[in-house]
Amino acid sequence: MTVSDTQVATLRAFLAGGESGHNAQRALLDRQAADSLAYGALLAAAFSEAVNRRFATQTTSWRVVKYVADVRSRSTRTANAVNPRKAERLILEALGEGTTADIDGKTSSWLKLALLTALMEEASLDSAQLDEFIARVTKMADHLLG
Amino acid sequence: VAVTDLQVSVLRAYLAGGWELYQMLRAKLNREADRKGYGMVAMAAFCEAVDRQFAKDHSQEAIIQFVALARSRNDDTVQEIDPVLAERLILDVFEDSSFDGYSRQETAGTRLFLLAALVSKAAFSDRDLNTFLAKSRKLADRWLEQDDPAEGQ
Repeated sequence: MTVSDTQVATLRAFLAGGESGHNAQRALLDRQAADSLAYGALLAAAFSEAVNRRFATQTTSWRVVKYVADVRSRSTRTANAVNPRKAERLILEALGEGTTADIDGKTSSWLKLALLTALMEEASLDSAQLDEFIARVTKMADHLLG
Repeated sequence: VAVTDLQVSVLRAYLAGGWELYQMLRAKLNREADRKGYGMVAMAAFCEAVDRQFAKDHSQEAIIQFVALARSRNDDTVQEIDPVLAERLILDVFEDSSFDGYSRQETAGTRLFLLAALVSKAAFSDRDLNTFLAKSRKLADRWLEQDDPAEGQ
C-alpha cells in the first residue's frame, strides 16, 4: 500500500491552513477503508517530521513543556482541549523518548493534529518548502505502510 | 485549635529551602495533633501566595505559563507534577475548580510544590517571608476558629 494523490492533497490543504479546503479534500477520503490507514500514516509522519525539525537541536523536556504551554496559551478553547501531559508525551515520543501506547488512538490523532497545526504555523513554510516537506513525509508514510 | 509556632517553623524551613532543618522540625510534628493546623497554615500560605502572584492577572494564559515554568525545574517535576491539577489548584483560589479523579495526597502534594514555586518567584527576604507567614498564620487561625464553633464561645 502507498499514499495516494488524494491523501497527499488532503494533507497539503490541512498544512496550508485552509480549514474549508481541508474539509473539502477530506470529504473525498473514505474513512472506513484504506484511506483511513494511509492518511493516518501520513499525518503521523508529518507530526514526527515537524516535531523533529522544531526540537532537533534542543531536546530537553522543559523546552517541550514550555512549547505545549505556549500552544495552550493561544486560546481558552485550546487550553481546555489540549491535555498538556499527553501533548508533551506525544512530542517526546516523536523525539524518541518514551511511549504513548496508553493514549487511545482518537485522542492521540486529535492531539497530533492540534500540535501539527501549531508547529506548521510557527514554521510558516513557503509553497516550495511545503512541497519539500510533503514529499518527505509522503516518503516516510510509504515506508511506514510497507 | 490554633496554628502553633512549630507548625509555622516547619513551613518556614520548607519554604526557605533549609532541607535538613525542615526534616528535623517536621519529625517533631505529631501526625494526628498537628495535621489540621499544619494543613491549614500551608493552605492559607498557598492562597496568599497565589493571590500575590495572580491578583492582577489570573487569566488561563498566566496560570498555564506559571505552571509550565514551575514544572520545568527538572525532569522529575516535569513527570510528577500534573499540569492540569496544578492549574486547577491556582484557579480554585479565584473561582471553584473541580478536583474529581485526584487523590487528596496528589492535591496536597501539588499545592505544596506550587507554594514553594510561588515563594521562590516572590524572592522574599527573611523579613518578607516572616511577614508572609504571619499573615498566613492569621488567616489559618481565622479558618480554624470558624471551623471549631467551641473555640469562639
